[in-house]
Amino acid sequence: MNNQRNIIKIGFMFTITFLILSGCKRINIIDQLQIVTILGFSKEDDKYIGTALYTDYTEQKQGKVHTLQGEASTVELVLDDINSQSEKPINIGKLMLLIVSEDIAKEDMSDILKTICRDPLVGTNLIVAVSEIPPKEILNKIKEEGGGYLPELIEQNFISKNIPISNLHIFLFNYYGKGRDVAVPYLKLNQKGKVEVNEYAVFKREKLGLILNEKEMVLYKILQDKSIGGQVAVNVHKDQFEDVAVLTILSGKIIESVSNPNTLPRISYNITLNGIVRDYPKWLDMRKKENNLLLDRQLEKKFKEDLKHLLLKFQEHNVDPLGIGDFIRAHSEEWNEEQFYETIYPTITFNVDINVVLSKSGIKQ
Amino acid sequence: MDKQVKESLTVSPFFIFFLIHGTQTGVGMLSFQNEIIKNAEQDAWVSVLLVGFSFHLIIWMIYFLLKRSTKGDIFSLHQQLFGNWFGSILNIFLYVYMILITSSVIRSYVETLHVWAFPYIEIWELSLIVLLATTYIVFGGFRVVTGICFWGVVIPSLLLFTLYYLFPYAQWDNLKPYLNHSWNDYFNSSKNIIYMYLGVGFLLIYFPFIKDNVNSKKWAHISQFYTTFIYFILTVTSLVFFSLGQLEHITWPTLNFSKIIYLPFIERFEFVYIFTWLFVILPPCCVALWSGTRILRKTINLKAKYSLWISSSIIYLVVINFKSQIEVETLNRVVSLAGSIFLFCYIPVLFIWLNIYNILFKRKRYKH
Repeated sequence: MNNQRNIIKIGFMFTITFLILSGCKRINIIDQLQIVTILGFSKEDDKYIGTALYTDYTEQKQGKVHTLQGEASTVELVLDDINSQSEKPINIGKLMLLIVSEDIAKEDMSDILKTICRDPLVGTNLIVAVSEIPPKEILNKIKEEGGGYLPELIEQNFISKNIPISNLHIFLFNYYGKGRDVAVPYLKLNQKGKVEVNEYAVFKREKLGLILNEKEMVLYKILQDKSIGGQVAVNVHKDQFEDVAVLTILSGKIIESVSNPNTLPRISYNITLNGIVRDYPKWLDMRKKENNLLLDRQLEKKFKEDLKHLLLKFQEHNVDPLGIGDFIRAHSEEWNEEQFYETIYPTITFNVDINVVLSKSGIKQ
Repeated sequence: MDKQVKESLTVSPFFIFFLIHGTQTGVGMLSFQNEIIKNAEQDAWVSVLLVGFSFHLIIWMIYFLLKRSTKGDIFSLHQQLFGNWFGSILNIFLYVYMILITSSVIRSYVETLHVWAFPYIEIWELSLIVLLATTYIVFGGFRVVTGICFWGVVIPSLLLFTLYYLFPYAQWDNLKPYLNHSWNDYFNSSKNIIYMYLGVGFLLIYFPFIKDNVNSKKWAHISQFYTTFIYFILTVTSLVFFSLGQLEHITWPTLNFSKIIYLPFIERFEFVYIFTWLFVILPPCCVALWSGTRILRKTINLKAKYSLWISSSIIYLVVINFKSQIEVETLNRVVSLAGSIFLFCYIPVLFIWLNIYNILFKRKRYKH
């Protein structure tokens, strides 16, 4: 019995050693891979142009950022073309940002998404964005800043500032989900040549439908209820004075409800926002209770108007980034997606009730 | 009537919990969500609970059968009810079922490894490693197999804590509207769920190896309840984390859970899932292989080590012959159908037959 055990042990060790030694394609040493962090796609004459941005951390290059460009008719061949120009194999395991140019977004960006998603190396916390100009220009501009600059810029703004949270998981959830539409950050270069993420692109099924400006983006972030935050500038007036005050939203809560889901739905949003106003006009003395109430009421009124305006804008363009269709589906007995967006969605009425709770505005009066 | 084998070969009844739960969770846990949402959609959790609870009835029937068999396992039951010759034929069918289960689990797991982790390593190499590991464990006998079942339950349970990362993305409205499907939908959905609970069938074969087995049924029921609970949590998490349309397009949803997890030192957390899954598939493979070996030993009287090597070789030949993903799915479907028939048709038939047999021949009831 002992002898047999020994033979088996030797047999196992031999088999395992034999299997490990054979084959070089199985070994992926990180120093010998080109780890791409940002990938951008644009279209020119029916061909995809892909730009990959990677950082080379080896001793010779010392963290230098490079871009490579490839051109082909399908996404996988574009990566192949990029690979053929690189001295080390391209690996998209650490892809943090995927940029798609506006012209592809206007036609159909699902091809690119589907090919990238099928690769098991890609994680779903990657950020998908649409850019106004071809991604290669953006990527060439940010080469000096480092490989992780742009994704971290966007991610930092998700948490506390004005950009609504969006990653590949949320993208796929909304894309495949019935009664929902996709919305992603919109990149462009400002006059100084720096990358700006101040706008948001909303899709209608798989085509670009609408672009929200800075103000609307914050309002959308509030309605989305995934991370309420951001800063909103509001006009305040008292007697004959009129100026701008800035509300910094700290946290909030939204309760969405629907009445009459089957025939003439009425969606109600009950929003509570906790915020502080640190930037207010000097003629408004915040130590007086009546000024506090005045500011509070004007903020609420302005928000209510703006939010309702945004919801009507979505309805007008027939896009549904807030998942109202899905919400109504959850509360109705029978629901058909096409029929809903054709007949019922244009007839929905909205009601917004908002309560702004201001806490003490800063340490100095 | 001695329903136990030699004392030194038995394990304490507490281990039935690990034996049943370990063999029920297998590779099916990675991709079961795709099948179950086909009919019941967002009410799939109802089907999961219904099937789980109906298995308690099956376990009760199995205990009833085993208590009235001569030696405490299904071979003696076959001999009792159907005579020597026909009983042996039924045992051979059972052997084929065991081979199919092991092949299907190993092949599905190797498929997962091949797609997610090692696209350049051939299928025959990966299956050889897994099969050799299984054979080596089964060489150690039933006590070693039980030990692996124990670790195969404890270590993967730690993965449940990673579900915490999914909570920020949970949309509880996905579960609404509640219960808007017909009984037909739940029934059709249930057919795909039986595959997840098949591990109970092995109890018929290893029952004599449990110490004090006639009083051990509480452990079996606790185990079944725990498995139902785990599957319920996984189903609800999938329904809440993914939209229904997404579930239709994603293969291996449980592995896709881990794609959202980002830790500074592990970029792709799913490798932790995939490699821990080896611990999850080893229990059903080892128990099935061990059962197959025991069937050969009892029926054809072949020495244990020869029947083990013969069974392993047959499994290996089956595994490497299924090349494409469609063929693997067909294999899984065949095993699922065979298992459902075995547990939901054959066991009740045996149950009824045993009762008729007892009444007709007025045998003295065996003391418990």
